[in-house]
Amino acid sequence: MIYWLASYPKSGNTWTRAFLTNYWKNPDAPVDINDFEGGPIASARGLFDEAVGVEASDLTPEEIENLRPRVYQDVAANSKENLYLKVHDAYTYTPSGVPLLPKDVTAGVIYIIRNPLDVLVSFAHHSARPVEKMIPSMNDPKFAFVNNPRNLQNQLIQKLLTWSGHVLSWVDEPGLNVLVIRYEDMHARTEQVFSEVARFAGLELDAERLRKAIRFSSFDVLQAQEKEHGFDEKMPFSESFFRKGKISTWREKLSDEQAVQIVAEHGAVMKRFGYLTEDGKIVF
Amino acid sequence: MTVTCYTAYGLTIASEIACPMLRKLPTVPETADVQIRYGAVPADLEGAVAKGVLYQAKPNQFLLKLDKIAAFLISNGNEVLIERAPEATDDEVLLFLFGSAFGALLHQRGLLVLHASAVETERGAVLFVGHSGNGKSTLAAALRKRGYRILADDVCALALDAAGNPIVLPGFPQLKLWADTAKKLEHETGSLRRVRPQLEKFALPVEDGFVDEPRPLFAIYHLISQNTQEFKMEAVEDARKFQMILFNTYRGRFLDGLEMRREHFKLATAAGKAARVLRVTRPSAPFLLEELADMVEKDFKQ
Repeated sequence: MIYWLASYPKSGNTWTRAFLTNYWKNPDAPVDINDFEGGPIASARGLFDEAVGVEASDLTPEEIENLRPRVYQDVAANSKENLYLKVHDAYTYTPSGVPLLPKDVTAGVIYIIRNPLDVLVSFAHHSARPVEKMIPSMNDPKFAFVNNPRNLQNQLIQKLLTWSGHVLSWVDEPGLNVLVIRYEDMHARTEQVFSEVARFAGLELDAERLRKAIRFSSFDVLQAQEKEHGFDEKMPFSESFFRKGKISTWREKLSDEQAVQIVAEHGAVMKRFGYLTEDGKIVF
Repeated sequence: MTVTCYTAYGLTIASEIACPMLRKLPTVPETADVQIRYGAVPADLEGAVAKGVLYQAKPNQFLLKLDKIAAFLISNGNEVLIERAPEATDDEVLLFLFGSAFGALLHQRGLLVLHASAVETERGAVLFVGHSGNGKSTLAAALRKRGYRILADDVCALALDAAGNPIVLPGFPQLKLWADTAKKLEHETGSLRRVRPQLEKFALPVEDGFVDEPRPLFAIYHLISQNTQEFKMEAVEDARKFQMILFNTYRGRFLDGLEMRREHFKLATAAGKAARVLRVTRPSAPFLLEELADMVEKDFKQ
């Protein structure tokens, strides 16, 4: 069975995965950032090609989308242990009308949410695009990640929807066992949040092991590893994947007008998850 | 039904489907090594020992089913049965026939089938392996521009010669290139055939620049694209050579169903022993193709 580590990009997914891998493996030194549990990502091209038996690069986007649910069923059937798979796709249905990520092989979903204003700053950095160009993407219901038909990239196309659409697609999908964690709480109450994650993921709780896994997945460790060996998930033109790992950086980086554009579009979901007060003040 | 005879991977092929990308044989042999025919293909392979999403396999039989394109039944390394969907084009059927279907057939014949492009050099065949998107076909195409001849693209088969040395078999004279790569290499895509109408991926014929005889294996370059600033070339030694070959086997999972792992190990060991094996890391972007080609060319020329 599969535990999905699901999030919009730049929301703390890699941090969660680093924690889980270090907790699961319980190693003497931090696990290599390029060797996290569950392979690269659910949308990795290699995972698809191997399971399907023909290459995604010979298939149309529709064919790929229709085959992806069967890839995860195949992967789950061929694994004796639970899998923890990172995913940035929104929870969508394929053109044939079935969930992209099938429920019959889903043990649970750890959904990581982050203040969309900080996501915007980080996503712009990650994509090496100016903030004002990222805002329309975060507000576009048709926005898809890794979407250039003229060449071959190591991931398949991922439909993200709008930022709000992404959150709601996962948390309001009937029949999914979802644990929602906030990036900001991972910072403020690290031990508590990560012990919830471990328990939810079906792992036995051990205080010493928990503290070590948190230490081994700390931002400084991840960033130092990236400086030394690089990180495969960094986008080609951006400077680094692990940038600041801080909260509220939007307050320095965004203009009032830019913040307003995000709040206007995503206010309802921001309120629901505590990023906006009833009287319209931005929390964090 | 008209039957035409072709050659690829050192085999004679009698085919009911026209295969314009293969070399035609001037004379028709009495019995061809491989028969490609149209016919009814079963929905399931009885007694399959391994299954993937679109395939089923057991010793000597392999079934590949692509919705709205074709179903392929590959038997005993010498027969391909095709049941095509009414809406499929010839190009679509051929794309999968000379991809996964033929890959399975070559596995059945006990060849070492790698996911690789191969180019002829003065010192023998050099292979480029690595993940899809890391530049195997692109590098082969760049070297073709420099005058080197092509042995294979994507599906590359190796055998042992009489003396037990690994040789690379000539595939067929075609390279598949994405639009961006074709542009980079100044190939006008307007005149090229798309591998499928819906894809920005083109078939570049390399008739004049193709070797139609086996060449001894000289080197394998494992192409890696990484978020680094610099190029790096490192020798791979001992058991790691063997691992790298296993890792870059064409559709390695097919071997479990076909129960061909043992033959495969034997050949992979022989290839690993004979070849110079290098790990080549390049910055993922921008793709500095000419620099990559310079580095690899310098290595196999030294």
